[in-house]
Amino acid sequence: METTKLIYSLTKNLKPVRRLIHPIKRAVIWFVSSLLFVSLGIYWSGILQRFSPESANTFFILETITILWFTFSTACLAFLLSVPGRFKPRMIGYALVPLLSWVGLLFIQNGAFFPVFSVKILSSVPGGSCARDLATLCVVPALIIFSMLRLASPQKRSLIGYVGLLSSFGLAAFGLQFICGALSSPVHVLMFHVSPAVGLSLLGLFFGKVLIK
Amino acid sequence: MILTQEGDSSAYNELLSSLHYVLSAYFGQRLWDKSYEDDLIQDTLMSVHTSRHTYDPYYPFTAWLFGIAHHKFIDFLRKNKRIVSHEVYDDTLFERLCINSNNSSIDSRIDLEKALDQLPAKQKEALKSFSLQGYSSKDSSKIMGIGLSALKVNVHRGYKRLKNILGDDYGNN
Repeated sequence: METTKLIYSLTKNLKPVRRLIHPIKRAVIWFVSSLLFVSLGIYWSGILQRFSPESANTFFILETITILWFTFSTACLAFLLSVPGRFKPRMIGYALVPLLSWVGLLFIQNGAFFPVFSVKILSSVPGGSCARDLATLCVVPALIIFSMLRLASPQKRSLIGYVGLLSSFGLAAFGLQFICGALSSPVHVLMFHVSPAVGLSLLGLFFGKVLIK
Repeated sequence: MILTQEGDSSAYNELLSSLHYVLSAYFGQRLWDKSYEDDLIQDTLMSVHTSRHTYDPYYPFTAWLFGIAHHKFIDFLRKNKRIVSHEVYDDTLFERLCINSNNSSIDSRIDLEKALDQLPAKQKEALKSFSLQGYSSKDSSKIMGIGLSALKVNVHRGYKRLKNILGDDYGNN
């Protein structure tokens, strides 16, 4: 087909379109709605009882704030990536800086001594249920963010899928803050909260390509 | 673009027509083979059309446009690399097929016609247009109403199948 014919066919049946709202506003909408679902999930499971006020120390509060920062920042990054021409390489920092802050906080909490490979410590804190809860809590936020990203015009679909899933796992990790009974162990948090969140998000590379079109 | 989002088709026509030249210059600087230019421009214009709701007038239009164009170009490079590496293009194979036949030229012609009849319609049409009737690849793709890369793929697969059908006649050469 000649380009002039294509232009003619595109202009022939032109309909007005509703302009997509700003990516950051969309990130806020996703964040609020998903937070609601995650909160409901925690409440309905009845596992809120496992959270005691004693565990809400300074590190817990700082960690929770950092996780929320990480979640919102990565969501912003995903929505910015979904609009052509809006992404700048420095925006990778939106996800990287809060993630490193989260990990850094865990190191500080452990007094810079981090026996990650200590089998004794890891076996004392079972983490299978945490990984399962993480995956469960992530489902609704992931569905919401993917359906919202589809509304835009994503170009780098795999990368967007990864970042989108990363933010969903971030929110799920926020939920785990109130579910997990082993928050006092930074090694556990690193192995069963942070690592699965970052690792499982790699599935987003595939989902992004398939689901975001 | 703002008028376009409101549904003004004459403004849209004007915009797309001017984008045609802008994109032509953009891809012209980057492409080694100008025959791909039209395909890329058309792809980009289609994307501009489907993404027009994402344009925000508070941000520069050029960044939005070239964001799409750049992505289309990267996509093209990936696809083209795949075709180049897997679909080895050999434009002398057809002549060799005819020359290497041991039969007389009339017999060869008949064999060739029979072999061509066994090919899928698109491959047959591509071979006839490109190799028998002597059209350029660009003209052949226009006649068939397909992209240049699709034509090359069809021609290559046609050659390959012809080689199998003619079998021993093509033989060891």
